Amino acid sequence: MKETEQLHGAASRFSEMKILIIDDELSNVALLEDLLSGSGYTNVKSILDPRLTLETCKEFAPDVVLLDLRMPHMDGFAVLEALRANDRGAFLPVIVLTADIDAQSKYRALRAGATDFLLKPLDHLEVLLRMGLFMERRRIEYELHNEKEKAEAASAAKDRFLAMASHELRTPLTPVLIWASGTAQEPDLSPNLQDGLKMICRNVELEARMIDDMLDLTRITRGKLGLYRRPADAHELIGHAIDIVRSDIEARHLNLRLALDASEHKLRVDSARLQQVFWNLLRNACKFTPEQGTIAIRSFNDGPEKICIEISDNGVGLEPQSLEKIFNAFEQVDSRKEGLGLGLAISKAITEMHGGTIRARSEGLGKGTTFAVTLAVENESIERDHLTEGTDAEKSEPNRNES
Amino acid sequence: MNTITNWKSELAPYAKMKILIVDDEPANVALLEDMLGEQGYTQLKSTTDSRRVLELCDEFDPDLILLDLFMPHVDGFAVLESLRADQSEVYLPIIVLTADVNEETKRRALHRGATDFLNKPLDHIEVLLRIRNLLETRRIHQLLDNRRAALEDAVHARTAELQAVQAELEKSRARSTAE
Repeated sequence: MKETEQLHGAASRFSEMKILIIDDELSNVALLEDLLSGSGYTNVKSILDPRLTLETCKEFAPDVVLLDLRMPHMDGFAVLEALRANDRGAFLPVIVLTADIDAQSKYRALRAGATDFLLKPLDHLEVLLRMGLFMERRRIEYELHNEKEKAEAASAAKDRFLAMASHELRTPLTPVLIWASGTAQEPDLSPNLQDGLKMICRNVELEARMIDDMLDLTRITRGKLGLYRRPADAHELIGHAIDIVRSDIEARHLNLRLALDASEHKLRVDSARLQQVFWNLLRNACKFTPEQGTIAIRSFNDGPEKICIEISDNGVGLEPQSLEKIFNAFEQVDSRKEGLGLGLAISKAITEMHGGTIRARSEGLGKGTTFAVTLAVENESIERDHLTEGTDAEKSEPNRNES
Repeated sequence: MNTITNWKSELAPYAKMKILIVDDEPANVALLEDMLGEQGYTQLKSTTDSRRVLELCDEFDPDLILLDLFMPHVDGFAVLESLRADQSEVYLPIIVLTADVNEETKRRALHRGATDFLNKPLDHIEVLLRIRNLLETRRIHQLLDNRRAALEDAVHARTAELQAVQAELEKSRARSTAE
Protein backbone atom coordinates (compact mmCIF):
# COMPACT_ATOMS: atom_id res chain seq x y z
CA MET A 1 0.00 0.00 0.00
CA LYS A 2 1.37 3.42 -0.86
CA GLU A 3 2.47 5.64 1.95
CA THR A 4 -0.33 8.10 1.16
CA GLU A 5 -2.94 5.43 1.51
CA GLN A 6 -1.51 4.21 4.78
CA LEU A 7 -1.32 7.67 6.25
CA HIS A 8 -4.72 8.57 4.93
CA GLY A 9 -6.15 6.29 7.55
CA ALA A 10 -4.82 8.54 10.30
CA ALA A 11 -7.70 10.68 11.51
CA SER A 12 -7.11 13.92 13.30
CA ARG A 13 -9.19 12.81 16.22
CA PHE A 14 -7.41 10.12 18.16
CA SER A 15 -10.54 8.19 18.94
CA GLU A 16 -11.03 7.46 15.28
CA MET A 17 -7.60 5.96 14.94
CA LYS A 18 -7.44 2.31 14.12
CA ILE A 19 -5.95 -0.10 16.60
CA LEU A 20 -5.12 -3.72 15.84
CA ILE A 21 -4.69 -6.19 18.68
CA ILE A 22 -2.86 -9.42 17.98
CA ASP A 23 -3.15 -11.89 20.84
CA ASP A 24 -4.23 -15.51 20.83
CA GLU A 25 -5.61 -15.42 24.35
CA LEU A 26 -9.21 -14.34 24.44
CA SER A 27 -9.04 -13.00 27.97
CA ASN A 28 -6.17 -10.68 27.11
CA VAL A 29 -7.99 -9.42 24.08
CA ALA A 30 -11.16 -8.77 26.06
CA LEU A 31 -9.19 -6.84 28.65
CA LEU A 32 -7.57 -4.62 26.10
CA GLU A 33 -10.74 -4.07 24.12
CA ASP A 34 -12.54 -2.98 27.27
CA LEU A 35 -9.76 -0.64 28.24
CA LEU A 36 -9.58 0.96 24.83
CA SER A 37 -13.26 1.30 24.15
CA GLY A 38 -13.72 2.65 27.66
CA SER A 39 -11.35 5.45 26.74
CA GLY A 40 -13.12 6.34 23.55
CA TYR A 41 -11.19 4.35 20.97
CA THR A 42 -13.95 3.01 18.81
CA ASN A 43 -12.03 1.58 15.91
CA VAL A 44 -10.45 -1.49 17.45
CA LYS A 45 -9.93 -4.82 15.73
CA SER A 46 -8.52 -7.97 17.25
CA ILE A 47 -7.20 -11.14 15.73
CA LEU A 48 -6.76 -14.28 17.72
CA ASP A 49 -5.01 -16.10 14.90
CA PRO A 50 -1.68 -14.38 14.27
CA ARG A 51 -1.43 -15.96 10.86
CA LEU A 52 -4.06 -13.48 9.69
CA THR A 53 -1.79 -10.57 10.56
CA LEU A 54 -0.58 -9.43 7.14
CA GLU A 55 -3.88 -9.87 5.46
CA THR A 56 -5.66 -7.94 8.19
CA CYS A 57 -3.10 -5.17 8.04
CA LYS A 58 -3.67 -4.80 4.33
CA GLU A 59 -7.42 -4.52 4.72
CA PHE A 60 -7.74 -2.69 8.00
CA ALA A 61 -4.68 -0.44 7.65
CA PRO A 62 -4.16 0.07 11.39
CA ASP A 63 -2.54 3.16 12.82
CA VAL A 64 -1.01 1.18 15.67
CA VAL A 65 -0.57 -2.51 16.48
CA LEU A 66 -0.59 -4.09 19.93
CA LEU A 67 1.17 -7.41 19.74
CA ASP A 68 1.50 -9.98 22.48
CA LEU A 69 4.99 -11.33 22.30
CA ARG A 70 4.60 -14.52 24.31
CA MET A 71 1.70 -16.21 22.70
CA PRO A 72 1.55 -19.87 23.79
CA HIS A 73 0.83 -21.16 20.33
CA MET A 74 2.70 -18.81 18.07
CA ASP A 75 5.98 -16.97 18.17
CA GLY A 76 5.37 -13.27 18.66
CA PHE A 77 8.81 -12.47 17.33
CA ALA A 78 7.95 -14.11 14.05
CA VAL A 79 4.83 -12.02 13.74
CA LEU A 80 6.81 -8.91 14.56
CA GLU A 81 9.38 -9.68 11.93
CA ALA A 82 6.68 -10.37 9.36
CA LEU A 83 5.05 -7.03 10.15
CA ARG A 84 8.31 -5.19 9.64
CA ALA A 85 9.14 -7.00 6.45
CA ASN A 86 5.85 -5.69 5.16
CA ASP A 87 6.58 -2.08 6.03
CA ARG A 88 6.10 0.19 3.08
CA GLY A 89 7.96 3.15 4.41
CA ALA A 90 5.24 4.71 6.52
CA PHE A 91 5.83 4.39 10.22
CA LEU A 92 3.56 1.77 11.78
CA PRO A 93 4.01 1.71 15.54
CA VAL A 94 4.05 -1.79 16.95
CA ILE A 95 3.82 -1.97 20.73
CA VAL A 96 4.67 -5.37 22.13
CA LEU A 97 3.03 -6.64 25.30
CA THR A 98 5.18 -8.79 27.46
CA ALA A 99 5.57 -10.06 30.99
CA ASP A 100 8.67 -8.82 32.79
CA ILE A 101 11.49 -10.37 30.89
CA ASP A 102 15.21 -9.97 30.86
CA ALA A 103 17.06 -7.33 28.98
CA GLN A 104 18.12 -9.79 26.29
CA SER A 105 14.58 -10.51 25.23
CA LYS A 106 13.57 -6.87 25.38
CA TYR A 107 16.50 -6.02 23.21
CA ARG A 108 15.60 -8.78 20.86
CA ALA A 109 12.14 -7.35 20.53
CA LEU A 110 13.54 -3.96 19.70
CA ARG A 111 15.95 -5.34 17.15
CA ALA A 112 13.06 -7.18 15.57
CA GLY A 113 11.33 -3.88 15.13
CA ALA A 114 9.17 -3.23 18.18
CA THR A 115 8.52 0.45 18.61
CA ASP A 116 7.88 0.19 22.32
CA PHE A 117 6.78 -2.35 24.90
CA LEU A 118 4.25 -2.56 27.67
CA LEU A 119 4.80 -4.77 30.66
CA LYS A 120 2.22 -7.21 31.88
CA PRO A 121 0.23 -7.00 34.04
CA LEU A 122 -0.84 -3.99 32.04
CA ASP A 123 -0.96 -0.60 33.66
CA HIS A 124 -4.00 1.02 32.14
CA LEU A 125 -2.62 4.49 32.31
CA GLU A 126 0.55 3.46 30.58
CA VAL A 127 -1.31 1.71 27.81
CA LEU A 128 -3.36 4.77 27.03
CA LEU A 129 -0.41 7.09 27.42
CA ARG A 130 1.75 5.16 24.98
CA MET A 131 -1.10 4.86 22.50
CA GLY A 132 -1.64 8.58 22.68
CA LEU A 133 2.01 9.32 22.03
CA PHE A 134 2.14 7.17 18.96
CA MET A 135 -1.10 8.53 17.63
CA GLU A 136 0.37 12.00 17.93
CA ARG A 137 3.43 10.86 16.03
CA ARG A 138 1.27 9.43 13.29
CA ARG A 139 -0.79 12.59 13.05
CA ILE A 140 2.29 14.72 12.63
CA GLU A 141 3.70 12.51 9.91
CA TYR A 142 0.41 12.72 8.12
CA GLU A 143 0.48 16.51 8.31
CA LEU A 144 4.05 16.61 7.06
CA HIS A 145 3.13 14.49 4.11
CA ASN A 146 0.12 16.66 3.42
CA GLU A 147 2.15 19.86 3.44
CA LYS A 148 4.53 18.48 0.88
CA GLU A 149 1.74 17.42 -1.41
CA LYS A 150 -0.05 20.73 -1.06
CA ALA A 151 3.07 22.69 -1.90
CA GLU A 152 3.82 20.64 -4.97
CA ALA A 153 0.26 20.82 -6.19
CA ALA A 154 0.14 24.58 -5.75
CA SER A 155 3.36 25.05 -7.64
CA ALA A 156 2.24 22.84 -10.50
CA ALA A 157 -1.10 24.61 -10.66
CA LYS A 158 0.57 27.99 -10.97
CA ASP A 159 2.84 26.81 -13.74
CA ARG A 160 -0.06 25.31 -15.62
CA PHE A 161 -2.08 28.47 -15.27
CA LEU A 162 0.77 30.61 -16.54
CA ALA A 163 1.17 28.38 -19.57
CA MET A 164 -2.52 28.42 -20.35
CA ALA A 165 -2.90 32.15 -19.82
CA SER A 166 0.06 32.91 -22.07
CA HIS A 167 -1.35 30.74 -24.79
CA GLU A 168 -4.77 32.37 -24.61
CA LEU A 169 -3.25 35.83 -24.69
CA ARG A 170 -1.12 34.99 -27.69
CA THR A 171 -3.73 33.52 -29.98
CA PRO A 172 -5.82 36.62 -30.81
CA LEU A 173 -2.74 38.57 -31.86
CA THR A 174 -2.05 36.57 -34.99
CA PRO A 175 -5.12 37.58 -37.01
CA VAL A 176 -4.71 41.20 -35.89
CA LEU A 177 -1.15 41.27 -37.12
CA ILE A 178 -1.97 39.58 -40.39
CA TRP A 179 -4.72 42.01 -41.20
CA ALA A 180 -2.86 45.11 -40.07
CA SER A 181 0.35 44.31 -41.93
CA GLY A 182 -1.57 43.31 -45.03
CA THR A 183 -3.67 46.43 -45.03
CA ALA A 184 -0.66 48.67 -44.35
CA GLN A 185 0.69 47.66 -47.73
CA GLU A 186 -2.36 48.69 -49.75
CA PRO A 187 -1.47 51.30 -52.33
CA ASP A 188 -3.85 54.19 -51.74
CA LEU A 189 -3.83 54.70 -48.01
CA SER A 190 -3.53 58.12 -46.46
CA PRO A 191 -0.13 58.60 -44.80
CA ASN A 192 -1.89 58.99 -41.47
CA LEU A 193 -3.61 55.67 -41.81
CA GLN A 194 -0.45 54.01 -42.99
CA ASP A 195 1.49 55.29 -40.00
CA GLY A 196 -1.29 54.18 -37.73
CA LEU A 197 -1.34 50.68 -39.15
CA LYS A 198 2.44 50.44 -38.91
CA MET A 199 2.21 51.51 -35.31
CA ILE A 200 -0.36 48.79 -34.69
CA CYS A 201 1.93 46.20 -36.27
CA ARG A 202 4.89 47.34 -34.22
CA ASN A 203 3.05 47.15 -30.94
CA VAL A 204 1.27 43.90 -31.66
CA GLU A 205 4.60 42.35 -32.65
CA LEU A 206 6.13 43.60 -29.45
CA GLU A 207 3.31 42.15 -27.39
CA ALA A 208 3.45 38.86 -29.31
CA ARG A 209 7.18 38.63 -28.60
CA MET A 210 6.68 39.24 -24.89
CA ILE A 211 4.03 36.57 -24.63
CA ASP A 212 6.13 34.17 -26.69
CA ASP A 213 8.96 34.72 -24.24
CA MET A 214 6.64 34.01 -21.33
CA LEU A 215 5.35 30.89 -23.07
CA ASP A 216 8.90 29.71 -23.67
CA LEU A 217 9.73 30.25 -20.04
CA THR A 218 6.76 28.22 -18.88
CA ARG A 219 7.72 25.44 -21.25
CA ILE A 220 11.24 25.47 -19.90
CA THR A 221 10.02 25.43 -16.29
CA ARG A 222 7.76 22.49 -16.97
CA GLY A 223 10.43 20.67 -18.93
CA LYS A 224 8.27 20.84 -22.03
CA LEU A 225 10.59 22.67 -24.38
CA GLY A 226 11.24 20.15 -27.10
CA LEU A 227 14.33 20.28 -29.23
CA TYR A 228 14.42 18.91 -32.74
CA ARG A 229 18.09 18.48 -33.50
CA ARG A 230 19.29 18.24 -37.07
CA PRO A 231 22.41 19.17 -38.92
CA ALA A 232 22.77 22.93 -39.15
CA ASP A 233 25.35 25.51 -40.01
CA ALA A 234 26.25 28.01 -37.29
CA HIS A 235 27.27 30.66 -39.79
CA GLU A 236 24.01 30.28 -41.67
CA LEU A 237 22.03 30.70 -38.48
CA ILE A 238 24.01 33.81 -37.61
CA GLY A 239 23.27 35.13 -41.08
CA HIS A 240 19.54 34.61 -40.62
CA ALA A 241 19.62 36.36 -37.26
CA ILE A 242 21.42 39.31 -38.83
CA ASP A 243 18.76 39.53 -41.52
CA ILE A 244 16.07 39.93 -38.89
CA VAL A 245 17.82 42.80 -37.12
CA ARG A 246 19.22 44.41 -40.24
CA SER A 247 16.61 47.15 -40.28
CA ASP A 248 17.40 48.01 -36.67
CA ILE A 249 21.11 48.15 -37.43
CA GLU A 250 20.55 50.46 -40.36
CA ALA A 251 18.13 52.64 -38.44
CA ARG A 252 20.69 53.22 -35.71
CA HIS A 253 23.58 53.54 -38.15
CA LEU A 254 25.53 50.81 -36.45
CA ASN A 255 28.64 49.24 -37.92
CA LEU A 256 28.52 45.50 -38.21
CA ARG A 257 31.83 43.66 -38.32
CA LEU A 258 31.91 39.99 -39.16
CA ALA A 259 34.83 37.67 -38.53
CA LEU A 260 33.40 34.19 -38.88
CA ASP A 261 36.76 32.47 -38.72
CA ALA A 262 35.74 29.06 -37.43
CA SER A 263 36.66 26.36 -39.92
CA GLU A 264 34.43 23.82 -38.24
CA HIS A 265 30.95 25.30 -38.06
CA LYS A 266 28.60 22.42 -38.55
CA LEU A 267 26.28 21.69 -35.63
CA ARG A 268 23.55 19.29 -34.70
CA VAL A 269 21.02 21.58 -33.12
CA ASP A 270 17.47 22.83 -33.20
CA SER A 271 17.95 25.54 -35.86
CA ALA A 272 14.94 27.64 -34.98
CA ARG A 273 15.84 27.69 -31.29
CA LEU A 274 19.51 28.43 -31.80
CA GLN A 275 18.66 31.17 -34.26
CA GLN A 276 16.43 32.54 -31.53
CA VAL A 277 19.47 32.67 -29.24
CA PHE A 278 21.60 34.55 -31.78
CA TRP A 279 18.76 36.89 -32.60
CA ASN A 280 18.26 37.59 -28.89
CA LEU A 281 21.92 38.48 -28.42
CA LEU A 282 22.00 40.61 -31.55
CA ARG A 283 18.85 42.41 -30.56
CA ASN A 284 20.35 43.22 -27.18
CA ALA A 285 23.56 44.38 -28.81
CA CYS A 286 21.59 46.76 -31.04
CA LYS A 287 19.50 48.03 -28.16
CA PHE A 288 22.37 48.78 -25.84
CA THR A 289 24.76 50.30 -28.33
CA PRO A 290 24.48 54.03 -29.04
CA GLU A 291 23.99 55.29 -32.56
CA GLN A 292 26.96 54.80 -34.87
CA GLY A 293 28.40 52.25 -32.51
CA THR A 294 29.88 48.90 -33.52
CA ILE A 295 28.69 45.35 -33.25
CA ALA A 296 31.17 42.60 -33.91
CA ILE A 297 30.36 38.96 -34.51
CA ARG A 298 33.20 36.52 -34.32
CA SER A 299 33.37 32.76 -34.54
CA PHE A 300 36.32 30.51 -33.85
CA ASN A 301 37.06 26.93 -32.91
CA ASP A 302 38.02 26.50 -29.31
CA GLY A 303 39.71 23.19 -29.98
CA PRO A 304 38.61 20.85 -32.78
CA GLU A 305 35.37 19.86 -31.11
CA LYS A 306 33.96 23.19 -30.07
CA ILE A 307 32.85 26.35 -31.72
CA CYS A 308 32.60 29.68 -29.96
CA ILE A 309 30.42 32.49 -31.27
CA GLU A 310 30.99 35.91 -29.77
CA ILE A 311 28.70 38.88 -30.19
CA SER A 312 30.25 42.09 -28.93
CA ASP A 313 29.11 45.64 -28.76
CA ASN A 314 30.75 48.85 -27.59
CA GLY A 315 27.67 50.03 -25.75
CA VAL A 316 26.60 50.43 -22.17
CA GLY A 317 28.49 47.46 -20.76
CA LEU A 318 27.81 45.60 -17.53
CA GLU A 319 29.04 45.75 -13.96
CA PRO A 320 30.85 42.66 -12.63
CA GLN A 321 28.03 41.72 -10.28
CA SER A 322 25.53 41.75 -13.14
CA LEU A 323 27.46 39.36 -15.37
CA GLU A 324 25.72 36.32 -13.99
CA LYS A 325 22.51 37.88 -12.76
CA ILE A 326 21.41 38.96 -16.21
CA PHE A 327 20.67 35.35 -17.10
CA ASN A 328 18.10 35.12 -14.33
CA ALA A 329 14.52 35.28 -15.49
CA PHE A 330 13.18 38.13 -13.45
CA GLU A 331 16.24 40.19 -12.61
CA GLN A 332 15.99 43.84 -13.63
CA VAL A 333 19.46 44.99 -14.52
CA ASP A 334 18.53 47.80 -16.85
CA SER A 335 15.16 49.42 -16.55
CA ARG A 336 15.40 50.93 -20.00
CA LYS A 337 14.99 47.68 -21.76
CA GLU A 338 11.82 46.71 -23.53
CA GLY A 339 9.93 43.57 -22.94
CA LEU A 340 9.92 41.24 -19.97
CA GLY A 341 13.64 40.62 -19.60
CA LEU A 342 13.30 36.93 -20.27
CA GLY A 343 15.35 36.76 -23.46
CA LEU A 344 18.66 35.94 -21.82
CA ALA A 345 17.14 33.41 -19.44
CA ILE A 346 15.55 31.64 -22.39
CA SER A 347 18.76 31.83 -24.42
CA LYS A 348 20.68 30.29 -21.55
CA ALA A 349 18.17 27.49 -21.17
CA ILE A 350 18.23 26.70 -24.89
CA THR A 351 22.04 26.79 -25.03
CA GLU A 352 22.40 24.54 -22.01
CA MET A 353 19.82 22.11 -23.31
CA HIS A 354 22.13 21.71 -26.28
CA GLY A 355 25.00 20.97 -23.93
CA GLY A 356 26.61 24.33 -24.52
CA THR A 357 27.47 27.35 -22.42
CA ILE A 358 26.76 31.05 -22.62
CA ARG A 359 28.76 33.71 -20.81
CA ALA A 360 28.86 37.47 -20.58
CA ARG A 361 32.03 39.55 -20.41
CA SER A 362 32.44 43.23 -19.86
CA GLU A 363 35.18 45.62 -18.80
CA GLY A 364 32.59 47.68 -16.97
CA LEU A 365 29.92 50.30 -17.51
CA GLY A 366 30.34 52.15 -20.77
CA LYS A 367 32.88 49.64 -22.02
CA GLY A 368 30.69 47.35 -24.07
CA THR A 369 29.71 43.73 -23.60
CA THR A 370 30.57 40.44 -25.22
CA PHE A 371 28.35 37.40 -25.12
CA ALA A 372 30.06 34.10 -25.90
CA VAL A 373 28.14 31.00 -26.88
CA THR A 374 30.07 27.74 -26.96
CA LEU A 375 28.67 24.63 -28.60
CA ALA A 376 29.89 21.22 -29.68
CA VAL A 377 30.78 20.85 -33.31
CA GLU A 378 29.12 18.05 -35.22
CA ASN A 379 31.59 15.72 -36.82
CA GLU A 380 30.74 15.59 -40.52
CA SER A 381 31.51 11.93 -40.88
CA ILE A 382 28.67 10.97 -38.60
CA GLU A 383 26.16 13.42 -39.96
CA ARG A 384 22.67 12.14 -39.65
CA ASP A 385 19.13 13.28 -38.95
CA HIS A 386 18.73 12.88 -35.26
CA LEU A 387 15.86 13.36 -32.87
CA THR A 388 16.91 14.38 -29.44
CA GLU A 389 16.07 11.95 -26.65
CA GLY A 390 13.30 12.83 -24.32
CA THR A 391 10.63 15.44 -24.79
CA ASP A 392 8.44 15.97 -27.83
CA ALA A 393 10.62 14.03 -30.19
CA GLU A 394 7.77 13.42 -32.60
CA LYS A 395 7.00 17.07 -33.17
CA SER A 396 7.85 18.40 -36.57
CA GLU A 397 9.39 21.83 -37.17
CA PRO A 398 8.76 23.49 -33.82
CA ASN A 399 7.08 26.82 -34.00
CA ARG A 400 6.46 29.21 -31.20
CA ASN A 401 2.74 28.63 -31.26
CA GLU A 402 3.05 25.14 -29.86
CA SER A 403 1.56 24.78 -26.42
CA MET B 1 27.38 -8.03 29.53
CA ASN B 2 26.03 -5.13 27.71
CA THR B 3 23.86 -6.42 24.94
CA ILE B 4 22.62 -3.07 23.87
CA THR B 5 25.85 -1.51 22.72
CA ASN B 6 25.05 -2.34 19.11
CA TRP B 7 22.15 -0.02 19.28
CA LYS B 8 24.34 3.00 18.64
CA SER B 9 23.86 2.89 14.90
CA GLU B 10 20.09 2.90 15.27
CA LEU B 11 20.26 5.92 17.50
CA ALA B 12 22.64 7.79 15.23
CA PRO B 13 20.06 10.16 13.72
CA TYR B 14 19.13 11.34 17.19
CA ALA B 15 22.54 11.26 18.83
CA LYS B 16 23.16 14.92 18.10
CA MET B 17 19.95 16.09 19.66
CA LYS B 18 20.13 17.96 22.94
CA ILE B 19 18.98 16.48 26.22
CA LEU B 20 18.65 18.36 29.48
CA ILE B 21 18.77 16.37 32.73
CA VAL B 22 17.25 17.87 35.86
CA ASP B 23 17.88 15.94 39.09
CA ASP B 24 19.22 17.24 42.37
CA GLU B 25 21.14 14.05 43.15
CA PRO B 26 24.53 14.14 41.40
CA ALA B 27 24.65 10.36 41.46
CA ASN B 28 21.47 10.11 39.43
CA VAL B 29 22.68 12.68 36.98
CA ALA B 30 25.94 10.79 36.53
CA LEU B 31 24.06 7.56 35.97
CA LEU B 32 21.93 9.07 33.24
CA GLU B 33 24.83 10.87 31.63
CA ASP B 34 26.77 7.59 31.50
CA MET B 35 23.86 5.66 30.09
CA LEU B 36 23.16 8.20 27.40
CA GLY B 37 26.77 8.98 26.63
CA GLU B 38 27.50 5.31 26.14
CA GLN B 39 24.81 5.13 23.50
CA GLY B 40 26.25 8.00 21.55
CA TYR B 41 24.34 10.98 22.85
CA THR B 42 26.87 13.78 22.89
CA GLN B 43 24.79 16.85 23.62
CA LEU B 44 23.93 16.45 27.27
CA LYS B 45 23.51 19.13 29.86
CA SER B 46 22.47 18.63 33.44
CA THR B 47 21.67 20.61 36.49
CA THR B 48 21.12 19.78 40.13
CA ASP B 49 19.84 23.27 40.76
CA SER B 50 16.23 23.42 39.68
CA ARG B 51 16.17 27.21 39.86
CA ARG B 52 18.42 27.27 36.83
CA VAL B 53 16.15 25.19 34.67
CA LEU B 54 14.33 27.94 32.78
CA GLU B 55 17.53 29.85 32.17
CA LEU B 56 19.22 26.69 30.90
CA CYS B 57 16.32 25.98 28.63
CA ASP B 58 16.68 29.36 27.02
CA GLU B 59 20.42 28.99 26.51
CA PHE B 60 20.68 25.35 25.65
CA ASP B 61 17.39 24.96 23.78
CA PRO B 62 17.04 21.23 24.53
CA ASP B 63 15.16 18.80 22.32
CA LEU B 64 14.09 16.78 25.34
CA ILE B 65 14.08 17.17 29.12
CA LEU B 66 14.51 14.44 31.74
CA LEU B 67 13.04 15.64 35.01
CA ASP B 68 13.14 13.90 38.34
CA LEU B 69 9.78 14.35 39.96
CA PHE B 70 10.62 13.60 43.56
CA MET B 71 13.65 15.61 44.38
CA PRO B 72 14.08 15.84 48.18
CA HIS B 73 14.63 19.59 48.25
CA VAL B 74 12.62 20.80 45.34
CA ASP B 75 9.17 20.16 44.07
CA GLY B 76 9.47 18.44 40.68
CA PHE B 77 5.88 19.29 39.92
CA ALA B 78 6.60 22.97 40.34
CA VAL B 79 9.51 22.72 37.93
CA LEU B 80 7.27 20.90 35.49
CA GLU B 81 4.65 23.60 35.75
CA SER B 82 7.11 26.39 35.21
CA LEU B 83 8.49 24.64 32.15
CA ARG B 84 5.07 24.47 30.60
CA ALA B 85 4.04 27.91 31.77
CA ASP B 86 5.09 29.77 28.66
CA GLN B 87 2.57 27.84 26.54
CA SER B 88 4.92 27.71 23.62
CA GLU B 89 3.73 26.28 20.32
CA VAL B 90 6.94 24.35 19.96
CA TYR B 91 6.83 20.64 20.74
CA LEU B 92 9.15 19.95 23.67
CA PRO B 93 8.93 16.48 25.22
CA ILE B 94 9.45 16.17 28.98
CA ILE B 95 10.00 12.75 30.52
CA VAL B 96 9.52 12.62 34.28
CA LEU B 97 11.42 10.10 36.37
CA THR B 98 9.56 8.67 39.32
CA ALA B 99 9.90 5.83 41.83
CA ASP B 100 6.27 6.18 42.74
CA VAL B 101 4.12 3.55 41.12
CA ASN B 102 0.99 5.27 42.28
CA GLU B 103 -1.30 5.93 39.38
CA GLU B 104 -2.46 9.18 40.89
CA THR B 105 1.06 10.56 40.78
CA LYS B 106 1.40 9.68 37.15
CA ARG B 107 -1.91 11.27 36.32
CA ARG B 108 -0.90 14.42 38.13
CA ALA B 109 2.35 14.57 36.21
CA LEU B 110 0.62 14.11 32.89
CA HIS B 111 -1.91 16.72 33.82
CA ARG B 112 0.85 19.20 34.59
CA GLY B 113 2.43 18.65 31.23
CA ALA B 114 4.67 15.62 31.36
CA THR B 115 4.90 13.86 28.01
CA ASP B 116 5.93 10.46 29.33
CA PHE B 117 7.46 8.89 32.42
CA LEU B 118 10.16 6.46 33.38
CA ASN B 119 10.00 4.25 36.46
CA LYS B 120 12.81 4.10 38.93
CA PRO B 121 14.94 2.12 39.32
CA LEU B 122 15.71 2.96 35.73
CA ASP B 123 15.75 0.22 33.15
CA HIS B 124 18.47 0.77 30.57
CA ILE B 125 16.37 -0.20 27.62
CA GLU B 126 13.28 1.64 28.72
CA VAL B 127 15.26 4.83 29.15
CA LEU B 128 16.84 4.67 25.74
CA LEU B 129 13.67 3.59 24.07
CA ARG B 130 11.39 6.27 25.49
CA ILE B 131 13.96 8.93 24.73
CA ARG B 132 14.43 7.72 21.18
CA ASN B 133 10.73 7.67 20.44
CA LEU B 134 10.16 11.16 21.74
CA LEU B 135 13.19 12.56 19.95
CA GLU B 136 11.82 11.09 16.78
CA THR B 137 8.52 12.85 17.29
CA ARG B 138 10.30 16.09 18.10
CA ARG B 139 12.32 15.85 14.92
CA ILE B 140 9.22 15.43 12.80
CA HIS B 141 7.58 18.39 14.49
CA GLN B 142 10.64 20.45 13.61
CA LEU B 143 10.57 19.23 10.04
CA LEU B 144 6.97 20.28 9.77
CA ASP B 145 7.65 23.71 11.22
CA ASN B 146 10.60 24.19 8.86
CA ARG B 147 8.56 23.12 5.87
CA ARG B 148 5.82 25.55 6.73
CA ALA B 149 8.31 28.39 7.07
CA ALA B 150 9.98 27.48 3.79
CA LEU B 151 6.64 27.29 2.03
CA GLU B 152 5.75 30.76 3.21
CA ASP B 153 9.09 32.05 1.98
CA ALA B 154 8.57 30.43 -1.39
CA VAL B 155 5.13 31.93 -1.74
CA HIS B 156 6.49 35.39 -0.94
CA ALA B 157 9.26 35.00 -3.49
CA ARG B 158 6.92 33.83 -6.20
CA THR B 159 4.49 36.67 -5.49
CA ALA B 160 7.34 39.17 -5.74
CA GLU B 161 8.39 37.66 -9.08
CA LEU B 162 4.93 37.94 -10.48
CA GLN B 163 4.61 41.51 -9.26
CA ALA B 164 7.87 42.40 -11.00
CA VAL B 165 6.66 40.96 -14.28
CA GLN B 166 3.39 42.81 -13.95
CA ALA B 167 5.21 46.09 -13.35
CA GLU B 168 7.32 45.52 -16.46
CA LEU B 169 4.27 44.80 -18.55
CA GLU B 170 2.63 47.99 -17.42
CA LYS B 171 5.77 50.01 -18.15
CA SER B 172 5.98 48.56 -21.65
CA ARG B 173 2.39 49.32 -22.34
CA ALA B 174 2.81 52.87 -21.11
CA ARG B 175 5.81 53.30 -23.38
CA SER B 176 4.11 51.91 -26.47
CA THR B 177 0.95 53.93 -26.01
CA ALA B 178 3.13 57.02 -25.73
CA GLU B 179 4.65 56.34 -29.15
